[in-house]
Amino acid sequence: MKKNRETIRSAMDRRLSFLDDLPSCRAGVLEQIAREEVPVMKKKVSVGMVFAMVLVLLSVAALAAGILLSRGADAARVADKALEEKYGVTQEMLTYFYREEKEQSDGAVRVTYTGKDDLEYVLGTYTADVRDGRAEVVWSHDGEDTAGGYEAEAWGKEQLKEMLAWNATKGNMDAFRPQAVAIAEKHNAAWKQQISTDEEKKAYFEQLEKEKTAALEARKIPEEEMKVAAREAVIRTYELSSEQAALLELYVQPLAVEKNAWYRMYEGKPCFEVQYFLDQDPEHPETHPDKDGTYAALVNVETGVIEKLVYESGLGGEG
Amino acid sequence: MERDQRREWLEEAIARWEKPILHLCFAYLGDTALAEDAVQETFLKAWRHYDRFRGEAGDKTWLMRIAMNTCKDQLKSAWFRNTDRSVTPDLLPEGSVPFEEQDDTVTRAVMSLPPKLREVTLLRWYQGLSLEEMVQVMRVPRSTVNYRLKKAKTMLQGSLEEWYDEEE
Repeated sequence: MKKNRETIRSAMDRRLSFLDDLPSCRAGVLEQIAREEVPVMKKKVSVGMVFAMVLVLLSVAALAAGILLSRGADAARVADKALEEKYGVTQEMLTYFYREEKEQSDGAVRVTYTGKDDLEYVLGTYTADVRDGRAEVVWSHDGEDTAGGYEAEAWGKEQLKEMLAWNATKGNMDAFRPQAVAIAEKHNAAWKQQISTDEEKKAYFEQLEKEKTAALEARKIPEEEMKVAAREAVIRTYELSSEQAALLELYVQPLAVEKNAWYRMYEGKPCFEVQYFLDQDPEHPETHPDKDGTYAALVNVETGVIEKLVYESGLGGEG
Repeated sequence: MERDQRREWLEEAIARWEKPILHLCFAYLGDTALAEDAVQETFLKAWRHYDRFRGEAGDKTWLMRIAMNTCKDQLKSAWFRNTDRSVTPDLLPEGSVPFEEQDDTVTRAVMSLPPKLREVTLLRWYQGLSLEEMVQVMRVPRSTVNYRLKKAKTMLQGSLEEWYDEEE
């Protein structure tokens, strides 16, 4: 076993030696510490402050009791169920899709599920129009033959089931990604990354940074309040049991150095992102109990409305 | 703990552990900028919670635990934004120290493991932590650590010629 350790350690030390040329973090750490050490006047807790604290606690409880889902988030909940009922595409299978919600001029909300990246062509796009709490779903591959496993050119629930099973045991997409790419190329529909050049990446991250700062500056609701609201929304929307709810683990980084780290603009609305993780059997990573995964919510920092909710089973992808 | 002593400890910790932690974070995250952020945040957290955690474990174990938790948080924040922050060993820069093809193969094989298996591999076989230290870092039972190590070893067998399968 010592041989293994030496092999890995020495090989990785040599291969990652470029990291040794990077500047030390020492100056940045000390600068941040100096900022945090600015003395703060100690104050006695006044009656007014107690009153204010009680008000904050009451508002948290009130928000938690009456969770407000945006029209998009509510429609997505309805569409998810309709998708499973009509096509057998479960929440876990959505790990292979991007989901978007758009309000339409006729009052409906259109929810689209597009296969991720290389899987875009074979998985196609499911489109759900949600009106008055009801969803009508269609698939871009409706009418096509899905029989024949990965040889088929349209992949439905049978392939998705196989993909999940492979991913769960192997941790990669080797069994199906090459076929998906080949089929897409055959139809001149190969997936291309939208942001590919260094200039595009730079512009994208600069824009993202601006939006994060703008969202933070727009905040009117305390972060703690938004975390509570997000948790309640996750529990109700995904119908978690009390046992599952008790195991939800908050993934917001409370000690983030960047104050805007968890802020972003979504559809032009300033939002705070909250993530909860559910792992019901941590001693057995090979298992995946129902509803395990990551739940994320975008909370509008001005209104407290839950703008978007996403469940990611974490079963797809390359690990 | 006096402020000066805490400051002295921090300076020593950065000098001693910054590079190993940077290597660990990079191998886990696959992104230089994210890894640098994770290292800085690791030392800031250590500074802030020095009194609370000091003595619970050795410096190295404690810092590795903070670093791994920080890395996991960073990875989990990426998928929601639909940004590609998956580990991409193909983009590894050239090192300042000459390396052989086998070094490259080993590094890519480790970095391509699923996160939980990558974590145990890095802590055990790259950073040299003992099983007890890994239990402290990962906060999971020893049986879980053993299980993941075994699974990681199995997955690496196909990629690494120098892989030996003796038990601990």
